[in-house]
Amino acid sequence: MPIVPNTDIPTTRPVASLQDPNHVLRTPRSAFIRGFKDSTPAVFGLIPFGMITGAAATAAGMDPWLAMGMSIIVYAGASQLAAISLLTQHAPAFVVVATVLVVNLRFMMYSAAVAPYFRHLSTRKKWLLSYFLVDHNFAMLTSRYPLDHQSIGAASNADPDIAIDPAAQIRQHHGDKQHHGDKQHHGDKQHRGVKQHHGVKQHHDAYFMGISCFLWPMWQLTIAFGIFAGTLIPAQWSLDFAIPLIFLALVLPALQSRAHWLTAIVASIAAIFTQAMPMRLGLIVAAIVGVSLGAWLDDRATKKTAVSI
Amino acid sequence: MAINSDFYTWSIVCAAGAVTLLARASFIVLPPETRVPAWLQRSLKFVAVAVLPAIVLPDVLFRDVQLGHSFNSYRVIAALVAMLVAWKTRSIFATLGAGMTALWLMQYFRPF
Repeated sequence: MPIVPNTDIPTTRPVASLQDPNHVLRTPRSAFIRGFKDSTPAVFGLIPFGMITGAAATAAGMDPWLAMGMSIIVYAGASQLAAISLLTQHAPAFVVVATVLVVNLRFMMYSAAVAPYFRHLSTRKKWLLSYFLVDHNFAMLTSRYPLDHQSIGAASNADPDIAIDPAAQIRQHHGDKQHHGDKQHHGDKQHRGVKQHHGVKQHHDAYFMGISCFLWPMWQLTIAFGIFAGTLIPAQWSLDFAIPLIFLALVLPALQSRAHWLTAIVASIAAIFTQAMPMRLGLIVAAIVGVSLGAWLDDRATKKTAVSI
Repeated sequence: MAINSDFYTWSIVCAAGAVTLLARASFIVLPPETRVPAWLQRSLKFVAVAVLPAIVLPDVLFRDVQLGHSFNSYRVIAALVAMLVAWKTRSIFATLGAGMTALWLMQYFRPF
């Protein structure tokens, strides 16, 4: 994180407090500003990715307004690319929607990890914050402001680009819940300690919105620029090939165990053999076969370790 | 290969947005006691490595296949190059650069 001078905070405040990240969350305004500033380094990853997504949409023959609309409505890069790829192959609606859902299922893990920070908010605010939940603000919130000492290790393991194995976050989350539950059981008012730090209310939601209010406009701008640039790039450049390349770059580092490798290989074989199926139904079959195999292998592995211990 | 910008396609996009919002909101709006079922937790670990290759393969093998060919050999070779780079560097941009360069070189020189 670059050192940014805090010019917008009155100098009458003690300077030491500026270095304390928890102090910054005491007012919604300073929490928002801190979030906005903390997220600025993300532009370096965001600009090229957004431009390629926009350009790939145009290269795939997508209407600029449809591409822009999808970016605003869905607001999730990898699933946008998957949807573009499937729409060009004239896949039926439910295959496209199911694929988008499956690619975005990781958000459920993030949702579970950030839920304790937003528990005190109104339902309407919860839905609003949910729309803005992406890899980056999840990673920033859970790693910079872990819920307690126990969660520091789990949160810092989170990969801000793609968290393929966020199950640790979930386990951590349950740990926290039990922790808070115990306190509640003992009649301790501190069970709401999530939004407090040494008894002071912490505006995690404002921090989260500060990050989001930088990321969202930046993403939409770079997408728009990519769509525009895409119309200038000739079709012979085959920019649509960027979509499978990005997916390969996401998958290969995620192949961390034998179960992951077998899942990927079996799903690939299933995808080729079901290629002849109408309407890209083969994708659904391949996904179900692959995920079932992976889950079964994982289940068997855990049982084996449990027995050996 | 164009995508129509009609009511049907816009509906697909809206439905995709709705399911994405539901995934994001899930545990934020559900009561705090809600637990993730074990089978779902287990399956989620393997979603990306099963689904992404299944999307990629037909796209790489069969998109823009020339007459007289059964699959698109340039894209397959470029994808293999990209896989090697992805494995070695774990960088999206190095992978993109290597894959696109490989494809452009083959399209320009047409070795076979």
